[in-house]
Amino acid sequence: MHDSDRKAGFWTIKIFLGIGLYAGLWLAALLLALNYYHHYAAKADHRPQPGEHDILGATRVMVRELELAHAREAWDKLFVRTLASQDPAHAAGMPAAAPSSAVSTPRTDFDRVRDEIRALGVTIKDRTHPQQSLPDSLLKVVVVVTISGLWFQTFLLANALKRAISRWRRRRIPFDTRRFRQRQAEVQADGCLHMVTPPLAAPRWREHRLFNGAPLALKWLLGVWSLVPPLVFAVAMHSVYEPAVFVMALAAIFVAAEHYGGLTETEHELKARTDELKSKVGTVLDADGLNEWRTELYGLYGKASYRVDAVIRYFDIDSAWWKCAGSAHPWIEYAKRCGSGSDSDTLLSTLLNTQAKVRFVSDQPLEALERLPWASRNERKDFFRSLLGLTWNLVVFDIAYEARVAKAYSGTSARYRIKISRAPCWMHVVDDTVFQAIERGKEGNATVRQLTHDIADVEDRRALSGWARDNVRRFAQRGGRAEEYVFAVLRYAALGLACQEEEDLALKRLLNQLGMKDYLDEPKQDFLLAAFDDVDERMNRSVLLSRETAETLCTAVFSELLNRRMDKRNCLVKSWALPGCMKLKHLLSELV
Amino acid sequence: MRPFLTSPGLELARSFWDAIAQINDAVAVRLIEPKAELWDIQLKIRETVGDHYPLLIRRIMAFTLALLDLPRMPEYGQAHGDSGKPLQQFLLNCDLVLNALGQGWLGKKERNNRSDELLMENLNAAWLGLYFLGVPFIHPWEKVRRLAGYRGGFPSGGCIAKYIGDVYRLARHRFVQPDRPVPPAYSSFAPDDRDAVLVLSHTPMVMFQDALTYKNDSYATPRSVHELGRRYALLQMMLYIRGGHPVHFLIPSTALTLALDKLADIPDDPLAKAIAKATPSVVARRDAIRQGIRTWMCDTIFTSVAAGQSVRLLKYPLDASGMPTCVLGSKTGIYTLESGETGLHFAGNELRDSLLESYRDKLSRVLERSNDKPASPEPEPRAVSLLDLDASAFAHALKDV
Repeated sequence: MHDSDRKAGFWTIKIFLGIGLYAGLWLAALLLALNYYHHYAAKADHRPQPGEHDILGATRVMVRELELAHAREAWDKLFVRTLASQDPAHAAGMPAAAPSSAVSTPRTDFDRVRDEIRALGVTIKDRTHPQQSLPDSLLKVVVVVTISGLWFQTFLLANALKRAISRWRRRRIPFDTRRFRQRQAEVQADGCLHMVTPPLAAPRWREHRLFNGAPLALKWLLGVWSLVPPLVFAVAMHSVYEPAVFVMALAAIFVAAEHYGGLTETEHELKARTDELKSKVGTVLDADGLNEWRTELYGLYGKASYRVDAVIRYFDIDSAWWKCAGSAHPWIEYAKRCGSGSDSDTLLSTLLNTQAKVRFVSDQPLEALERLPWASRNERKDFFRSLLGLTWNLVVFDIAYEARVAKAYSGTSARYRIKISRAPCWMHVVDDTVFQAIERGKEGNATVRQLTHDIADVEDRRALSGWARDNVRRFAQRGGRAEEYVFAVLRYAALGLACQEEEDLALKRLLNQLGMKDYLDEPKQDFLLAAFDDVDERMNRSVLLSRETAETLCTAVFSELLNRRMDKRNCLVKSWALPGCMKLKHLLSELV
Repeated sequence: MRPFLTSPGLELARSFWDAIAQINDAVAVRLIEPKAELWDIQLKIRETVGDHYPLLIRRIMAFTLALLDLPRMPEYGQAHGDSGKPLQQFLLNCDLVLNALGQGWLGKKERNNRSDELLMENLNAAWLGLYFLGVPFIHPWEKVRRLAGYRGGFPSGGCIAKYIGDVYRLARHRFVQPDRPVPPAYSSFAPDDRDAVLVLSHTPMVMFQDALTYKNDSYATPRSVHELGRRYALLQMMLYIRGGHPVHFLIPSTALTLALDKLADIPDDPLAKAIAKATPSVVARRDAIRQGIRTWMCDTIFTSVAAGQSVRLLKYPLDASGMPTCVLGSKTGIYTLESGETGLHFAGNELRDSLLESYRDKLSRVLERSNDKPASPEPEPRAVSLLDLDASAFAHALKDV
């Protein structure tokens, strides 16, 4: 709503409707109040004394009776005498009140009683509510409802007008190029040499600060104006009910209406600010934001035709992968799921669709590895998660590469690379779209913003994305292959366990050394541990797995990478690579 | 004794350089063993080093992390506050280590001037050490590349040799995991000259075993890193050649003459040179080196010659003069201006994109013309392909140099 009418001027349909509704309610309230007055005053026992409902006269009388002397007298009565009477010494010295000395006679007694009874009758007549007829009550209810409605509408309208005024002040009349050119041509035809200055696009007087107070003034004006119909009602009601109490009730409604208007305004403001912030700051990368961003990115990857270059801080693992837990060959199952199109939002299915070359750069600090034996559980967990994510991505890249090569019979267009390098800026470049993620302390506080969001010009977008891509490319060129890193980490862990070269590779043991145990023990985003396998999507993206299954899956990621690399026979290790029997020395085939 | 001589940093540096020297010795033995299977060199080194192996890894890792932490980075701008202090300590340690190895003493001024060079060489040594121990983490070398980016090149010696090795390594990886669907079959793989590694060399390692060792102590870092770098380059070159991947070495004969002179310690000065060339012992030494070329090249490096591999001696009309020594892969290459062991501190940089293309283009043209039959007025062919020759023809081809 706030977006659609941003470009409008003062008058919008909403403003028309608002003003119409306000006027209608005002008139209706006044009409009803006057009717009520008439109806009430027409009754025999409520017929006003001549001049009783003369508001101006009454006001005059009230004002005349306002005197300083009265106030002082009341003050004395209230505070000064009370204080004096409370003085104990004073009270003790007071003489006892003398008994009344008036002599009563039967005659005077009778008169007195009669007078009192008459006075009593008048009081009862004045103070008791008249008997209510149903039409009376209905009318009263309708009047009150209308007045309440009027007041609520008053403040809503005041808000709408405030926004309309600010729109009106900011509005620029679009520059009429056609007329300007025409004018210029005319001037040139006349042979004049002076420049034609383009007309000012917006009247500057609208920005004068005199208008700053306009919304508040309007609010007051509307507020006071909408007090008129209730005034009539109040006059008619003054003798029926204690006016002070009645007015307090009205004031409560008024205040409530004002607050309601204020709240609505705040809500509106908040929404506008959130949108503004979002366009400036970007998505917050907490669990939900990450989800949203991933969906957006995968969509872009699928459509990309040229290149994807990205700095990755946190390698995502599809929840579809964890759902392959039941299968004996989870990777085959995963590839089948992604290929069949039932899971379209996975990394693999996205990569199968894309035409682009993909290059990721990731920073894996060496220090974390070196001090792993002394690290806290949390650090070990984080280390293992990043290694697992990296390895998982490598396997997916390899599957995608093979599928692409099989389809196109040419590997030149299929490039999926991950490089390990120091990458200080966290950027994501997909064709000519650039995302910049900003890290703020712990994960969950980071935000991501699409830098090219507001850039409409194609050339500008290309310039920016070219610059960003060049940055990522430079990081990648300096770095090393991710496969090599993973192999080196595994070998380093094995050497830490004092393994011999001819020993069989005990992958689970190595991974536990690298923090797998801590990873499985801690609560995590990827999957939740359950007593038994209950593979299902819960709470946004979680899968429930038993500890054993999760462990098997983690190991499967690494063993799949190892097998795939060995199959490539990277290093002439024909004599070494025996299927199903992997020794520590075989890791060297990737490292030489 | 001054107190800093026993600082933990110095101990770390000393034990690190000890480890590098130890690895260097092991590699020196294992690399040129007859019938060495080169891809298990890391296993052999573990064998040679024996029980020290985990200790070496730990020492090198510790020093690597200390180097990676060192706040001397051009992006920090001027050293501010305490950030200069660790660097000063590091430089002093470098000097002390160098001195302890009997390679002289740089002095405060020179080591400050050459601080980036020292840092890069140390990082390079760390990478090489990790590589030969079988855990090649990229991090130290990545920092060398970063510094090289800021400095506009690599320091002479170990770093350039390591990069040359990387060119072969990358090329080998590209061939083994080709961007083509055909599974790599080494014997049936048809070499493609577009992807061949082209080498123009003035002091070719492919010909001189002596080019592996350093006699001169003019480097600012222990010689073990420079030798280790060269051995890494040699290892990668041999792995590449034995994989049967295409490579062409082009060696200008004039350069070969100069290189022989230099390796035989014949001075540059014309008068001294004339005297030396008249001395029988010097001539004998030079001849011995020349005789050694064939053994080294044919028996150690090219144990079998695959199609698309050649070593060509360029005679005068084909001399690619004006071009520095360069090793060009299809994606990246390096040129170096260092010839022998004295000269520039920073003497080489990587070649990429159009610069690489133009270098490759030039060398390809030289290569093409070297295949031409000699024109009639020319008594001798323009180029000699050394690998095709038998012993006597080989000696004949080299008789002039």
